[in-house]
Amino acid sequence: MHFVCEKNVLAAALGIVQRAVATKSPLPALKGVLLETEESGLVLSGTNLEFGIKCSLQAKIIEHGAVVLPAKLLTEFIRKMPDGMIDASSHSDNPLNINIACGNIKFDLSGYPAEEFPKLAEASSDAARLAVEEGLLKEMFSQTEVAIARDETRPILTGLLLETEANKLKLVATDGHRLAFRQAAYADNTELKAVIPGKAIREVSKILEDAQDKKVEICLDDTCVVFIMDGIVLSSRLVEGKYPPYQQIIPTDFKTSVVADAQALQAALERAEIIVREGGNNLVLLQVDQGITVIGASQDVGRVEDFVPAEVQGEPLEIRFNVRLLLDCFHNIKDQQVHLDFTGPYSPCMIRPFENHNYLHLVLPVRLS
Amino acid sequence: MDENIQKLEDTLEEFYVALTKLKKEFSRLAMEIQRLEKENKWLREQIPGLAGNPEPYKEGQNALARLYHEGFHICHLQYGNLRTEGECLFCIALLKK
Repeated sequence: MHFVCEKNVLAAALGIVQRAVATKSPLPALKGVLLETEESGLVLSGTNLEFGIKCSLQAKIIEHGAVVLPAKLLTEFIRKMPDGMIDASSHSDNPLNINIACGNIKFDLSGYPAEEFPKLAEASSDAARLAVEEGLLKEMFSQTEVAIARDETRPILTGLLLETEANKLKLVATDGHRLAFRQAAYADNTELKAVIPGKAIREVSKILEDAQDKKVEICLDDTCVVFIMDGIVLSSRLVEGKYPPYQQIIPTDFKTSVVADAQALQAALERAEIIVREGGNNLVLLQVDQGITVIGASQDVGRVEDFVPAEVQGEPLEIRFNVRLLLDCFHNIKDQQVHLDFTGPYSPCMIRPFENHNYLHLVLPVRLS
Repeated sequence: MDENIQKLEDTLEEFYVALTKLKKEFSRLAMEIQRLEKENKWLREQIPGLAGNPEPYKEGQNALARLYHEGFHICHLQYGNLRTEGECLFCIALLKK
């Protein structure tokens, strides 16, 4: 194998692929990056068996070949190289020993045979395909990803539900304490349903750009999902199981409805968070009457009371929340005004942008024993 | 020859590590089974309808509400498990029905 490529291009590609590389594995090849030459350039692949990333980059191929090199070492070395062209070639007597040169610097790295590298998950030829605007998908993922369960007690909730029905693309995530729902118009009328692992969603979100002129292709079959982006392919196994019927937990009748300035309410919650975080309880009390009074108090630390003017309809109410869960919703609301709908002090509160009915959050209040 | 012995030693070491892990997992599971059996017995005692004399619907709802407030999940996802992380959206939705 022999190729020449730009250092910065290789370093950037390694940075992306390394996110999928297993940090701990009994298989040495899993801790490595597969380097393969193709007619068009170099292809790097990394996988931890849950998901994998493949990245293509421009390179001058002098001799074709493939090898697995230790990801951590290779990435660190390449990053420390001076800017310029990198020349990598395998030793004639040992093709697994790669000599990497950049200017006066040369180093040899021992690798593993490419055959030991596991095959990345691939969607079957009859997989369903969706094309979604890159910026829109990034926004949708960021709005829903926060609610994906981190703990593994309910494996199905560690994934994000992606479904298409009635010309809508819907994303749903819930960890049992909150739920995030986001939908967007989608031209195709095919019905799809898949639960994509949260880890894969978080990695795709980091790769996706805000671009509105680029599209991401999503291939889905019964077992895996593949995101095809510009030069980068991320594939992941799907979470097995049936996603719980989320529609049943979205309330439709409310006793108190509030419209408030999103920024003012977020700022009040952030101020309250400073006090409650210090006290270690993260609880804020919302008094909803003529407006919303945000109260954060911690014994031995202090107390903050902040009145946010709001339009309130229905019964007055006092309700306690984990301030972090509320702020996670507000960080993703870009509208000027926000709707908060309550059904009682112990029932979930629905938060949604005033003018955007395609996005909502449900947050459960905290009940003090 | 030396290389083969080294490989064999490595494999045996890996096997030993795996076996130790397996033993630990086995004892953890045994304890978990014991805990679940106790919990199941207690839960069965708490639900009046389960012993064979079905109670009216409202009684069942009350029993579910009581179970929930005593700290157990009543939703399909985790029925009977302890609610170690506070409230649950799915249980609340079931109670509101």
